[in-house]
Amino acid sequence: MLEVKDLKVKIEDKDVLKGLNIKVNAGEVHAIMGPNGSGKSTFSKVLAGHPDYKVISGQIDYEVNLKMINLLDLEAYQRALEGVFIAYQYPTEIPGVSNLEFLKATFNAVCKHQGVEELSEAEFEALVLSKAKLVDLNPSFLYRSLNEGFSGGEKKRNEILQMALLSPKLCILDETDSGLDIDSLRIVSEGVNALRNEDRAIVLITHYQRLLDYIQPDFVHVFKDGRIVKTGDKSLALELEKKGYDWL
Amino acid sequence: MNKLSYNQFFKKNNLLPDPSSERWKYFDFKSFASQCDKIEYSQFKPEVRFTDNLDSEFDGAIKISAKEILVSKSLKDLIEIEILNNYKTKNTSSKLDFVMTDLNFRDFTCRLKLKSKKHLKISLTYLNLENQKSLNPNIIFEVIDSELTIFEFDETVDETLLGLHTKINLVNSKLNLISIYGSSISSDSKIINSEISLQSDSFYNHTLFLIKNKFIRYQQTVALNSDKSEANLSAFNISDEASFSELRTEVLHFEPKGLSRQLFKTIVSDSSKSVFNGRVFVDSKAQKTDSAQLCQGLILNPRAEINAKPELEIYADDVKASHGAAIGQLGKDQVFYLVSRGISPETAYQMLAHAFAGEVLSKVESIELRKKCEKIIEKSSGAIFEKLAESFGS
Repeated sequence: MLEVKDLKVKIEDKDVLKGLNIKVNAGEVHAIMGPNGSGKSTFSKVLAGHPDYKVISGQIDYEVNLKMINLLDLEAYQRALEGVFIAYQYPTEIPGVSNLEFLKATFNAVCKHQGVEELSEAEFEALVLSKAKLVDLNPSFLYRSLNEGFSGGEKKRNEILQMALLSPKLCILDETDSGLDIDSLRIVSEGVNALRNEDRAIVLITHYQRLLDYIQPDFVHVFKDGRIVKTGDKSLALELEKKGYDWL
Repeated sequence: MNKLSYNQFFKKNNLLPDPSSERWKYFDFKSFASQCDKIEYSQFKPEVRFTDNLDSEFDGAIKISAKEILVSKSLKDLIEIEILNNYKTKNTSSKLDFVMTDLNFRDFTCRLKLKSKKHLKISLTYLNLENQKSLNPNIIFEVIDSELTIFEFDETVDETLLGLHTKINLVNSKLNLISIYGSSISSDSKIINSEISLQSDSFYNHTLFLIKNKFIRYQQTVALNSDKSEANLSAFNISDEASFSELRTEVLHFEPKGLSRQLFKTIVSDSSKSVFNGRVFVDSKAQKTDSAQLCQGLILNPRAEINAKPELEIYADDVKASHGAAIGQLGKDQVFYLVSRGISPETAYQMLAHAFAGEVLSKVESIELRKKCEKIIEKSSGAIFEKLAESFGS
């Protein structure tokens, strides 16, 4: 589904990714771990198409309608329409835009792109309410401004709600576990697990092994200095928990 | 130009606006000077006609042009209309200088007296005649013991100069005024002066939308002349290209326990300039006044400019008064967040601008009218966001 080949990325003249290679197949869950500043979040931003990150070389092959295309050729919003979803570490607050209005706009954009008829307001609201249950998000948050005044846990639940609503093919969860208490971590993880299926790939970016207790990864990769230095299975995460990153 | 105007404007030097004074500090004299050749005065007295043919979704409609004033027949028993020629405006407050608009007030005066037990919704439209370069009416509203919603819409087109003076006297009445100046079809230049007097427990709620005007100066003076009167002034401006828009408000608290709220939101793009100057005056007699004023601006382009000057002048010692101004840019992160969910950059900018304007739109009490205003803003400002969307990511 996704194959990143020798990706080099700069931000403000600083090299962040220095030849990244990774392959992710449909149905797989990959965990990306690594020390601060190793390029994990940059990777998610580049996949999303953030304009501040400049790709110097390399390509990102991504499967659309059984054909591989270079994701870098698509605008940020087109990538989302093709099923790329990033659950952000710090979801942006947007005062004045209601959460429900935003969810409807993004859902309708995807429907339109897929040539599917949009839902009526009542149908859509019923759908959102059912998805909100998945992450135990109080429906009152749907009628508030997008992420404004939400706690860390509520923001993360709102991200997973969007993921559930948009049914993306490739989900990158950027430190979704940061700032979550034990109960929230469990609820969010259960929400993610409920969305696991054989057509969807999930990439978890995390610092801590505990998220992987809830969401079992198929592969664990270690980022260091802008590239992957080691790949293994879940036992690698346990080893990192004990030894840290210095031995790599 | 008639002799009276000429004498007042050009001969008495003390009446000429002084560009170095605070009051005219940010006014675009150069642009205005280029409009002056458009000023011409109507030679005839407009005729008042009551008709069934006014298409109106309201209880009644009034359409004002230099030739005729059309009024819905449904209003015939509720409204008295009187037309005067060459009416000279008389300033009610010596503190105000109306010199710029005095120049334009000579077409005619239309005095409307309204009294209705039922809440009335009326549309009020300004139109120019073909080949008419300027429309300069003086409109006086006397509203007594009534509740009224007026939807004021400017339909002057082409290269017209609209020089409008309105004076509204509210006596034991409630007025919701929604004004829209500018849109894709609108005229070039507007100089508008509005004087509101609140008497006997009156309530005034004004929501003003200035949409892509090439040149506009809107000055509003609200005098709270009885205790417990209330005035809410909200305005939203969006401008682009090399346009100029100025909003001046003066809220004068003359009696105790008055309440006033002011909110001005402005979005400027390209090399447009927007000015907000809001003054609150609290007389020594006006104890227990409660007044708040806020100006918020968004600059979409480094060449655009906003000048905000909130002012408080307080002579009473037991009052609540606040003012503030905050100018910033549309958050790049906010745009990206929306875009990364499949929303096009153009729609993302529109959503954010709409969110910014939302607070002003929410002041329009009627849901239908609010939707109408939303549509006009959306339609007229679409091109600004298309342009912004093109630059997103570069």
